[in-house]
Amino acid sequence: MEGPSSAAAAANTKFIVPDADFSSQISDGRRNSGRVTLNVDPDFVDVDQGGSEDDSDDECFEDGQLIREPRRSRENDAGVKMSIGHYDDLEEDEEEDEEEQRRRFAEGIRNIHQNKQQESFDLEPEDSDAMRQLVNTAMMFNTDNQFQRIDFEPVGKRKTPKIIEGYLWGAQIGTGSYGKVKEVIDTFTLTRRAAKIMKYDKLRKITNGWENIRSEMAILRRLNHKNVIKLVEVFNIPTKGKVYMIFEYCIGSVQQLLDLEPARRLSIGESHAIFAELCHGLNYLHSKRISHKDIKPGNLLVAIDFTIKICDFGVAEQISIFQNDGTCTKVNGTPKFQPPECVHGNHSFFDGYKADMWSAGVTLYNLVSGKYPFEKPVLLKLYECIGTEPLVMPTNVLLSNELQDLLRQLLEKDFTRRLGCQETMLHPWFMSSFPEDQGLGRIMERMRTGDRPLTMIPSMMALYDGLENEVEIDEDGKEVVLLPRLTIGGELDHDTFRGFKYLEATPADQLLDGAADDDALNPMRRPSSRSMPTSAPVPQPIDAVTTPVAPSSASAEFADASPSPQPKKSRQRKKRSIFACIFRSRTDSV
Amino acid sequence: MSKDRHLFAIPANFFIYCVFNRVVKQGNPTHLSWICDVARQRVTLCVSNRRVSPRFWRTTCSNESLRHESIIFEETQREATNLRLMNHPNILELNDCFVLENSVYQITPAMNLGSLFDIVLNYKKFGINEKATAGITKQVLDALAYLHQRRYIHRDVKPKHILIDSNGNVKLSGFRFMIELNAHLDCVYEFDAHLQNQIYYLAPEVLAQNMHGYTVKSDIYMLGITICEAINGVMPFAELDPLEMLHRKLNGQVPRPVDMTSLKDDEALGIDISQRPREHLTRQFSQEMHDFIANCLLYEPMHRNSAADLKESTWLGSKAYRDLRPTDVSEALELDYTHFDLSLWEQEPVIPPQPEQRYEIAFDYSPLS
Repeated sequence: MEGPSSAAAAANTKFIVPDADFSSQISDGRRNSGRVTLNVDPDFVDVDQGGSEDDSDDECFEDGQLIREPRRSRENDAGVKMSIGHYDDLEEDEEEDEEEQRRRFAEGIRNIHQNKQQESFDLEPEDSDAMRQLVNTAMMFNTDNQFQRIDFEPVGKRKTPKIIEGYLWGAQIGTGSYGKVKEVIDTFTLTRRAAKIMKYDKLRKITNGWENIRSEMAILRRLNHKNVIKLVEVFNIPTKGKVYMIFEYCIGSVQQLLDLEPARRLSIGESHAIFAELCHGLNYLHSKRISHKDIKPGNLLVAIDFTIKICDFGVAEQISIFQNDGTCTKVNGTPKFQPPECVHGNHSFFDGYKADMWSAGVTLYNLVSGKYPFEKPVLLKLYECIGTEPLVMPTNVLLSNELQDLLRQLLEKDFTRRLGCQETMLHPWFMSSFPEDQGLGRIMERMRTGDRPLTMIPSMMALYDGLENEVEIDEDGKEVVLLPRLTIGGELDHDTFRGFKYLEATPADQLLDGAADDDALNPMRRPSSRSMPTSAPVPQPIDAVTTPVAPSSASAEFADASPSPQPKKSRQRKKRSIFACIFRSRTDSV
Repeated sequence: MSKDRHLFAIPANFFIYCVFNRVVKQGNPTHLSWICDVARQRVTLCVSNRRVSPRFWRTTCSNESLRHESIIFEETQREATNLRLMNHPNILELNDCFVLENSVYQITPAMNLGSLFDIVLNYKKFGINEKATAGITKQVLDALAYLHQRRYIHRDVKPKHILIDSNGNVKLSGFRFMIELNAHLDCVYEFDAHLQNQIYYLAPEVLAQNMHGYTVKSDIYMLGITICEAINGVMPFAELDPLEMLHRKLNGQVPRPVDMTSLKDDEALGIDISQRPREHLTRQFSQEMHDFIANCLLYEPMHRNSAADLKESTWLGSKAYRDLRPTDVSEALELDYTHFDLSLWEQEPVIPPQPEQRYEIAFDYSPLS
């Protein structure tokens, strides 16, 4: 802890305490006074109290009056502490940074060669950012690419494939709370992996950033289950200021699947399959005494064989083995998926396992209907809604009685009566099966149509066949050298499942969307949860595809798409060894 | 047996296994048998069975590896489980399996010529001839057809796992990575670092790891690579990095048998063939065999023939090779069988007297870490 949450949070944080009624009701049951500290997402703008936005002091309501109070006293309270400390820097753009760095690097090297700035390598720690960047980049070039000689001329014009720690780097396949997720391939075992990249700068900005990733690593290394993501390797490159976590490869998250659907929901059968795998994963986690605390569609990943994998253990809590129940006190997670006992503020503790089951219930509700059971644009209203309002079943889809019963029992406000994981797995809806066309059949259809080729194939061509810069002629008649693309594809999109029939949005879906928005005409509205898109992406027509990759004929595609033609490649190969004649290109053999 | 001749004997399932510590170099097919235990110590194990003939059995255990011991143990266990499911003359049967100290012992029939890899490495530097290849391929295809009919993918077909005995019987082993097909999709997606020993043999659709998965046809590709290795004497892609090998495979580049015709093709393409060995320059394979291997190594799994179809192909179904018997294989291999001390297999082993110390070396009680 770098002193932190006090200094950083003082500027951005609001402390909110619910009505005095609540605190008086339960004051005898609690060890300390009725204060609950909420460390609220600094990104979140509270519409109701917009005027008090710039107050750096703490506020709390008591008897309807706004009073101020020094923060020290409150920090010692042993009530439920809540921190929703994650937010994304959306403006981050690594690619541009790299170009910039590279140009700066080239300049710096040139200066060094002309003996102009030789002393600048003896830098004081408080020296300019630019020179620090320069040094970092120089280190990067030295460590990363043994194959590559540094030459100054084409620095801005040539990109080389990145190989770091034995991993060849591919395209970005997702965005996590701490940074990008990229696809990599192990150059020795040829396994596809996903690399989560975390920057030091960002970790420092986030409250408890370092602690969270440390606990994530500690928890993940003990886990081994089909429905839990596997951590393969972790490494740290201080010269780049980044931590890399290597996970097994997944094609995307359930949230991304939802976003692809025009109706923003899945069929009941698919939801059932996903929920079942989620329950198996949760059952395993709970048996290992781990409460995940952040279950939501965005944290459920889909592997290439459509197994659902629970990921993101940043806020997960390992519950002590000397405890008989899942009692824990630290509230974390996404507001929309939090159970009432976390947001109420009238409990000094809650059950971590049962909190997971609530989140699983909200997830199921969301998968089935595309809506959230409790949705308000303002965080405080959302909490109030979760705590008090009764559950309303979605009207846009027809739910069976069993499913309604399961949802009611999962979204039970009293956590002592809420279903646990084992009981959920014995529920009749959980054990029911679905007709082929809407359940397993749809998943099979996704797997049949899905195509997720290696994104680093152009990089391999650049390494072994040589990739030439494309030259285009622009409007003025000048030749413009384009950088060759080193990756194909990226995140899940409509090309991935080409020919798959998505669920059409019914009028009922649209209607409810409008109804939910009437509360939030205010332009100040912000999403109250991270990585939860505010609007569905518009599905693109298939004709507008720029880089089509047809399934199962990858090589033919590359021959068309790539600038380097086939014959040149084979001629290069032939000189390489005496065994070259053993090879024959595929076109010869057919 | 006198007391000093065997170090200890354990009764298991009415068999008596005598274990002694004659260390013989692995890969030498003349020794009786070898074993590698979980703690990665290699000891030689001779198995004597007093009541049932044949007397001598080959024992295998998991190969030495850098992976964690628990994983090796699991794999050995899985191999034993898989082998027990099989019953086919061309699949190595598992006679017994037991745990002793910190070792797992698998008792299997002794294949005294060793594996195809050993034969090529030690005696056939430039590859085996066409007739022997046909005989071996036929028997391996029998085993593969049996597996594929039962919806299993072997995933580890390579010369090291094709065992041959002096009668020409061929048996497929190495069932550690066998996997069953998915009931709904008829394909499998699993690929992880544990397959890294055989990445050079794996089919492109396995290595691509995309959402199409792979089917039993990936075994056919591995068989094609295996035949190429046996015939050419070198492993295809051996001179490449794994990543470059992946790139070549994804581009559809495949190996092919080297003989007069293929070398002429290469010469026409401008490749210098003057450095090639004379054996390769003078031999000539039939066109049917070239077609057979090209079919095995097709890029699209759909276009490859199934194992049952390949048995009826023009090469194996031709007049010359239709009625190949196991004995033809051992003849066609043209090995000088004096290299193999076959008498060792016929009689009770003669054990040199061992100092008492060696016993402790053989079974080291150092703790498993």
